[in-house]
Amino acid sequence: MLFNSPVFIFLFLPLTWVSFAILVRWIPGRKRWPIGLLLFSSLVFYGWWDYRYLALLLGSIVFNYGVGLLLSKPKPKRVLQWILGFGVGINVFLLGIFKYLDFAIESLNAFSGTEIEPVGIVLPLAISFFTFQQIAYLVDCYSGRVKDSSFVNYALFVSFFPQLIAGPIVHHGEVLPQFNDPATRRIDWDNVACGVFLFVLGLAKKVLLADQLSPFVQAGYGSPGALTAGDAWMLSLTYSMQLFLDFCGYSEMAIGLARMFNIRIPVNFLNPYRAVNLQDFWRRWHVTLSVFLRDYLYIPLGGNRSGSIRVGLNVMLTFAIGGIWHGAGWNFLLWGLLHGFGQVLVRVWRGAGRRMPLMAGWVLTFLFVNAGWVFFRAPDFGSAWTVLAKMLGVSGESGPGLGYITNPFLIGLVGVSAWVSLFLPSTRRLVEMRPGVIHAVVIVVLFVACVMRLQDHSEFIYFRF
Amino acid sequence: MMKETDSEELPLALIRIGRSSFGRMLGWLYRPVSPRGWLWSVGVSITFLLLVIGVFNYTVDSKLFFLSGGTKEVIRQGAENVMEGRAVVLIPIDNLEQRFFQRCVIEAMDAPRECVVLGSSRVQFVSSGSLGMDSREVFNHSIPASGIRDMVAVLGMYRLQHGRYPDRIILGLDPWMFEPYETEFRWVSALADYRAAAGGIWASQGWSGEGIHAGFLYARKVWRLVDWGYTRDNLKALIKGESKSRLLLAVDPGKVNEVPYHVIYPDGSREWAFPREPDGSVSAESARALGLDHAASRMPDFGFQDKRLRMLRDVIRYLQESGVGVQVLIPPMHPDYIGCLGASDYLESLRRLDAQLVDLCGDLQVERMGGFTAIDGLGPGDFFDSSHPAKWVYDRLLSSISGNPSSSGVQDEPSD
Repeated sequence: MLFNSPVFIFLFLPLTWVSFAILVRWIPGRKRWPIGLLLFSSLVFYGWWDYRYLALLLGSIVFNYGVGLLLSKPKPKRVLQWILGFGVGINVFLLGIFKYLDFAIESLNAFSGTEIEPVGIVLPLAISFFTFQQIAYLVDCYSGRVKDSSFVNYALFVSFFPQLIAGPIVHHGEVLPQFNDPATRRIDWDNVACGVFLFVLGLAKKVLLADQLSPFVQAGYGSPGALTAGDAWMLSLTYSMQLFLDFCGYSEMAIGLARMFNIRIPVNFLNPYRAVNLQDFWRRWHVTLSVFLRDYLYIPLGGNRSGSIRVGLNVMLTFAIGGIWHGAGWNFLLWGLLHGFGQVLVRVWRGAGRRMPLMAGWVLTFLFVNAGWVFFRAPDFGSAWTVLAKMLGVSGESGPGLGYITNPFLIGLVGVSAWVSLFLPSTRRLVEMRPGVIHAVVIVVLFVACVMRLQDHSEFIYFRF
Repeated sequence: MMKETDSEELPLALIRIGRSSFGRMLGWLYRPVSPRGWLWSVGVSITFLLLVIGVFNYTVDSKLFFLSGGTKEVIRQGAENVMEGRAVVLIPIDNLEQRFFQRCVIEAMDAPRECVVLGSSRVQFVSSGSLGMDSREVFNHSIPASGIRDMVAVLGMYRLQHGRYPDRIILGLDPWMFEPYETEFRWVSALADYRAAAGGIWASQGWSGEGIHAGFLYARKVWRLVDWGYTRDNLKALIKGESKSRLLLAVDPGKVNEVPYHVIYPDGSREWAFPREPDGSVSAESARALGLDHAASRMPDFGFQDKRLRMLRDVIRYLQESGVGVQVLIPPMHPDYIGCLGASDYLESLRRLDAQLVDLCGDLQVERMGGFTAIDGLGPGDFFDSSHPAKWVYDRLLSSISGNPSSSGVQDEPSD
């Protein structure tokens, strides 16, 4: 089920919210029922896509909960390490089988000339997200940082429908306490209004902007040879905007939905295209992934505590894993390494005591990120090189052109998208906003416009990861 | 007493008034309101706006989705003209409206014609002449982009209007009828008719999922009331309202070749205006383009194909049980189209389909004419575009059936 589908907006969400409201309003004595209802709804939400994979999700939850219980009991450290290794290993193994097995087979075939048939496993929705969340949970159980041991709470923490499919990646410490908080078990109209406001804003970013940019991106990356230099630049800008609006829209919808049920989940975007250097960018883009990679990969690897070469390697490794986490493909790995390399450059620059003017920093950062997205989106290396070569004017030949730089609709759309990504308040500020009359007018207009476009709703880009 | 403002102070005073008004307005717009009131006002405003849009779309209904639009009477008049023996010009009307046109034709009939043709645009050229019959004995109900459900819907129109089916039905098939690429949503404008026949076809076989499917489609149909695309169509129709009044005009038989649009003859067959070089080169070019596109983009879906074949089998069997003589017409695809499919999986799926249709017709003892990949001596010039054979091809395919009922047209087995 997609957040931007009519069945979600007009059936699933109202039904879930009204049931929740009835439980907290009229049956307040049953304190666990609202949490049970949210868990049930979340499982229905996931099963709607393909009920067969529900078993995988439930199996993963039960397994990790069991391992978490074992880790929480006092045992010799050596035993706990083995249990943790086993738990994390199984999670990584499952992720590897479902997400990377075919990629590994195809790579082996390409490099060694073997002809092993790819298995053709369908990537279960959200597996990257719920695997990461549970690995973090196991690590924290091992470290004794987990206090709540209720199974229903744990299952809801993993499967809570607003964040299940594509994040934000939630830390158990942020949400588990909220499931026991009496403030969650009431109707808070402030939260509902804020949730509706965020949900509609996110929906509008997805439906009215990202989805409208999508056909241009598809056409451009479908025939990169046909691009002129101007088209190639326009194409890269269009995808930069589409990706941001698609993912930021999804995240805002997720935060809004959770807020309707009095659950606060962390923000994922802080105007990332305003970043003035790459470190700044990763503090603003997919914030919850950055935090996860920092806390559970970069710091355990040694973080900043060792020599500069080791720090550089840690950064490169963290970004390489971050890249490959996004998708099973060499282009994702290269994209991750590019960003890792960029981060190292920023550190070297700063280490040398140099400063860069803000504007120059912003321009350089955006150009770097924009070029990086070409690898992120292109179907293969060849297409990515073609687009980049055309952007740099070194491809040697110019295609017949797709007319992107003379298309007023596309220019207008990219312009509006750029304005939204640069000047609209970040999610953090939107969450704090108290809705007034102007917000009501904006929400009504945006929602009606979205409803009129829902007939052909499309998937979110990050669903593939 | 008010302070007087001299002429030099006036602009500043106006700015002050403007500023304070603007400031007050801004303050009012941004003033936080109670969240409950905010939610209520948002909900009520959204509902109101959607209702207004829905009522607008229902009233204009330019494509007769809801059979409430103002073009109904024009189309009905066109259908009556056809029934009175006049050819009419079809100013391009949407596929959805063409389903309503068929319904109007059936309503205007005193009794079902002896023989009817059902299918898509690929069989719209089949005429009474092709069948060696009088134009009052035949009607061609073909609808562009038709699927098997469209055929069922036309049968439902007969059932609802006349309580019986014609004596003889020719089912014209397309490869796309057996693929998920079919635009099956279009037939939803004939949903009620479809259900009238589907009840008879599938009721005896228990659960078929058709009821659920129709229910989903109905929900999607209602959704069109607030769909942006349909609102835009209706706005355009409202602005260009006069073009609709020229729909389906009767045309002088002597001037049929001069009109730029489709002509519908009294037997329901069509004449299309189409640009074509004398050597057929334009048709070959479009066939090659389509072939290359399909070879690259269309993946065979045998599960879907089998489902549709079962559906077709059910329809034929039901018609046979109802005493209707059924014949299956399979117009061949353009040889250049087939050539461009090369060794693709899609060509294999077409051959498989041909073979399965041979089996199906054999099992049900139904007369079959032609085959999608069965091209016997046809050249590019015998087609006028990528998939539509010229009229003489149909004449040739169909001429055999009146004299030799067991003949199967171009050849008995699909070519390899």
